[in-house]
Formats: sequence, C-alpha cells, structure tokens
Amino acid sequence: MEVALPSSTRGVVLIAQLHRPALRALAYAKAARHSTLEAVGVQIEREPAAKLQQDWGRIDSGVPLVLLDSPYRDLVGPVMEYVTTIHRSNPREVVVVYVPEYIVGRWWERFLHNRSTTKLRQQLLGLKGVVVAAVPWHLESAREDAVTEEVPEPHEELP
Amino acid sequence: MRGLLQRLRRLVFGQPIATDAVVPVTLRTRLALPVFGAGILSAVLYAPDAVVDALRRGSQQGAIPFMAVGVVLIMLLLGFAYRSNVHARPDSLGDYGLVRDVLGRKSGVVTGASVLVDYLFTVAVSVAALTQLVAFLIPQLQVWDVPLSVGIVGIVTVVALRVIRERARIILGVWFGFLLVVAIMFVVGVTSHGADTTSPIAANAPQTWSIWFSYAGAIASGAVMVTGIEHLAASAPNHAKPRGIRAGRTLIIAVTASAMAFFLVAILAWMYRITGWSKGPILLQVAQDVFNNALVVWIIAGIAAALLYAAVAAVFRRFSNLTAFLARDAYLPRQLTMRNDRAVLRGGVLLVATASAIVVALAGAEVATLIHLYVIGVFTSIVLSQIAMVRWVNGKLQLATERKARLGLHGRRVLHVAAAVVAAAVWIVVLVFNFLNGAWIAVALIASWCSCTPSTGTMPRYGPTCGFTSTTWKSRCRARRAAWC
Repeated sequence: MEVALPSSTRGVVLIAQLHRPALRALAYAKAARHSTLEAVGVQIEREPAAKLQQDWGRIDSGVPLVLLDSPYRDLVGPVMEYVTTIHRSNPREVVVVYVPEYIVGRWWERFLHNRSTTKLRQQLLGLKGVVVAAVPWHLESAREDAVTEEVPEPHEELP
Repeated sequence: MRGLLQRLRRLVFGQPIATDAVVPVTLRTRLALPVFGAGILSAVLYAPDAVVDALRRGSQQGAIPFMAVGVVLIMLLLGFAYRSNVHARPDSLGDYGLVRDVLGRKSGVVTGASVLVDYLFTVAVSVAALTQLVAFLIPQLQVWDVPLSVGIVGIVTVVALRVIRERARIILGVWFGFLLVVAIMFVVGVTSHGADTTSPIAANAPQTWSIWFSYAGAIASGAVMVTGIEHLAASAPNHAKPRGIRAGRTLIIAVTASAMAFFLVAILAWMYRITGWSKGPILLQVAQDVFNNALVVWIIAGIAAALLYAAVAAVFRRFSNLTAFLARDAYLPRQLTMRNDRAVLRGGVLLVATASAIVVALAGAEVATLIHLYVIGVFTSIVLSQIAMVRWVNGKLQLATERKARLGLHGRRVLHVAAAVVAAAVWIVVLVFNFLNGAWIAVALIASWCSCTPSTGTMPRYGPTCGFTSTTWKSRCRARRAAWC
C-alpha cells in the first residue's frame, strides 16, 4: 500500500519555566532528531517570560526560543494559532508538540496538576498534522523508589 | 452551541481585558476611606447587637456605656498599632507577609489561615446582617432568608467577576452618609429622649465573678468592630505617594469614625432600652424608636444595606488577592494565582463565594450564630502580627543610632506590646466564652487548614537546574526583604 509520508517532522517543545521536566522534554525532542526543532514559551506575565529568556540564553542549548505574546493571559489560544501558522506554511510537515505531563501519586493531586495542559492537548489533537507527545515527569508521590535528586554540579553539561 | 455559550459569557461578564490595560488603582484618601473602610464601618450593624446580646446573657444591659467605652479604647489602640504596621510595611501582603517574614513560615501559615477564615466569616456575617435587615423591613421575607442570603452572595460574585467599577462617588456618599445618619440619629435621639421619662437601665456594680465574666464577654464580642482593619492595613499600594503615611492616615480616620459610630449606636440602644436582636438589627430598632417614621427607617436601612454590600465586595477582592499570595508561596493550589480574561482572580472569588454560601446556609442566615465564630480568626492574626512588629522594632533598634529615632522606636514597641497583650486577652476571652457556641469551628478550620498545607511552602521541587536557582519565590522574597528592611 502506498502511503504518502510527511516531508519532514518539526519539533515544538512547550516551555513554561526552565525546570527539570522542561529540560527532559527538550532532551527527548533533541533525541528524536527532527528536521527543525524549536522551543515555544507563552508570555502571560512579563517577569517570568523575561526570566525564561535569560535562563534560555544561559543554558545555550542550540534550540531557538519563540515567545508568544498572550495579552489576555490565555495559554491555549496563542499556541494553537502558532501551530496552525506552521502547518499552513508547511502543509506536508508533521508537527510534534512536546508537552510535559506530571504523573501524580495521590488522588487529589490530579486536580492540582496538568489542568491547563490537558485542555491544550485536547485542542492540539484537533488540528491537522499535529502530534502531541506527552513527556512524563513522575512527581515525588509517584516515584516507586523515593530517591532524592542529587544536586548537580555547577558546571554540569546539559544535553 | 459553543459560539452561543461564548456570546452569553461575553454578555454577562464583559469583554476580555488585556494585561497592559489593567491600570493599578490609586485613590485619594477621601475615596480610599469608603472603599477600604467599608468593612470596618459596616460592623456597626452587628457589633452593638453582639455586645447587647452578651450582656443580655448575664442580664447586665445597664452596663452598655462602659462596654462601649471599652470597645472604643480597644479599637483606638489597635488602630494606632496597625498604623505603625502600615508605616513599616506598605505593601498589600498585610499581616500574612509581615508574620511570614519576621516570625517564620509556620506562623505565616497560621496567620494566613486565620485571615482567610476571618474574611470568609466577614462575608457570611455581612450577608446574614443584610438579610436580617431586609427581613426587618419586609417581614414576609423572613422565611426566605437562606435563599436570599445565597442570592446576595451570587449577585456579589457575578459583579466581582465582571469587575464593575463601582462609582467611587456613590460609595463615598454611602460611607459618609452613614456616618451623617448615625450622628443625626444620635442628636435627635438624645434630644427627644430628654423629654421622655423612662430612664435607661441602671448598671449593676460588678460584684460577682459572673458579672465580670459577662463584661469581659461583652467587650470581646464588641471587638468584632476591629475586623476590617487588616484590609485597611493592606491598602497602601492603592494610595498616592507617600503610600504608607497616606494609608496610615486612612486607617486611623476609618477606625476613629467607626468607633464613634459604634459608640453612638450603643449609647442610643442603652437609652432606648433595646434589649436584644430578636426583633431585628439594633441600628434599625433604634432608628424606629427615635424617628417613628417608616420612610426614614427605610432610608437608613437603604444606606446600611449599601454599606454592607460594599463591605462584601471589598472582602471578595481582598480574599482573592490573599489567596493569590498564598498560592504563589505554594500553600494553596497554583490555579488561584491565575487571572482569567477579565483580569480577575477567578479562583479566589469562586472559593470565597462557595465557602461563604455554604457557611451562611448552614448557619441559617443567623447573625447570632455566625458572630461567635468570627472574632477568633481576626484576633489570631492581630496577635501574631503585633508580636511580629515587636520583633521588627527590636531589629530596627539594634541599628538605630540617633536619639530621636530610638525614642520613636521605643514608643512604637510599647504600642505594639500593649496591642499584643490586649489582643491576646480578647482572644482568650472570646475563645473561653464562645467555644461551645461555635468558636471551636473557627479554630478547627484554621488548624485543619494549617495541617493540610505542605510544610515546605516552596514550589514543587524539581531540584536545581544546572546550578542556578530557578525558584521564583526565593528571589522575589529576597528582593522584597531588601526593599522594606
């Protein structure tokens, strides 16, 4: 059976703040060897966005950061618009959106985490040519072996 | 269907507001007074009732004037102490921020919990008082008091979510109008009573311990007048520069005016032999006895209702602000920091709305039931914040060298120690007096909330990322401490 393969893949990593789940999503996105990879942040408040820009420059990952302006403090709208724009300019490309997802241990933590990303995921899956990749991060309550994270060296190399 | 819902939402709540379009509100003192002082003045509608009720339980209504003087003195002392608070920390964190930074995180959590419980019960008591006021005017509505209260909470919620800017002049008129009305009522009441032959109830000299207890209980119940003071103390960012000094001025004017209004109403209640609140709010009973004119009573009731509404609306805003601060310190779910598209902290507003609706419904819209739970929350935070201020002044004294500055700081320390002692005394008395009546509920709420919140009070730990600390609250805390220390 002849199936027309997509011409290339494009990775989009959703970054809110530069913490370990975000870095893990970035690492997985790099490992998938997309033809184009970029990181997307949504500017809801000025200070966290400025901090994200500074931290991004400091880690120097080689991946460009795109900051989307969200004047009405919306997370889903700007991301949807951006992904739709990408698809419109490259119709035969597949866009893989990497979204960190927190795996929770206790029942009530389900209502605290993943609220906005669930909505985002559902809306993104409605778009054409978009794949949503949920990069898991197990919270402490969900970790089987409660091993405390070691403090990394100041000059630790990031992937 | 989706478009229809969206359009309905726009109709009810209005167009979205961009972040850049949100302008921080700066008020002059004469406008800041009614906006932030509505809570403390509206307590005149239920504080005299609480005092009379406490005395009635010991059959000591004759002692109302002395109790009123006691309450006024407590109010003035705490007013000056909180003025010093505002001068020290002119930010909108209020007691929570002060205790958290000076006494530590655990005390901060206790203070935050008690302030939130205080605001919750402010809404509940104000709505119940408003319902009782309406039921006094229209007795047929007495059976509908619980649905009416819940309805009032619903209206205030929708207004809060839509962010209708209340016309400042209307609220100004309401606040000063209420003061004017109380003053006129006092003058008319005194002059018309002078011709009357029935004398006010004489006071019994306190001979037995039970009489002392009922006096203490009455003063402690009257201390419910102080409850709006934290909101005034956190209003500094909304004043013009110099913020702390102007906010202190607003605070002291509001406290003095409310103390005067309370005193006048209490004296009138004593003179007109009003013995309880079974017939309705004491303010309206007094108005009826003084004026004997239904139209005047309706006008007074209208102004009082507007004042109560303003108090509830202000508390909604303050509650959502405070939950946002606590959520930013990771004591509450992070969703409470998020503003919706109308730039309103929707989570906090909905939280206070549902919680107060439940509380009012459970209490059957009875002010008497709710008032006993009320005072504990306030005075927990007052005691802790005054202790924090004493420690703060001690810290300043270690650095101050000029004689004048040192003298001022010593004076402030005396003020705060006195305020802490008085507040602690009131707290103990209220706890002892009202424990079985319902104060245990407030204590249980505060304690359970403190034990539920995470003990670390930091953002969820993902570990430091490549050697730089990325927790936002730490850097913000550091910056803030440098700013006001």
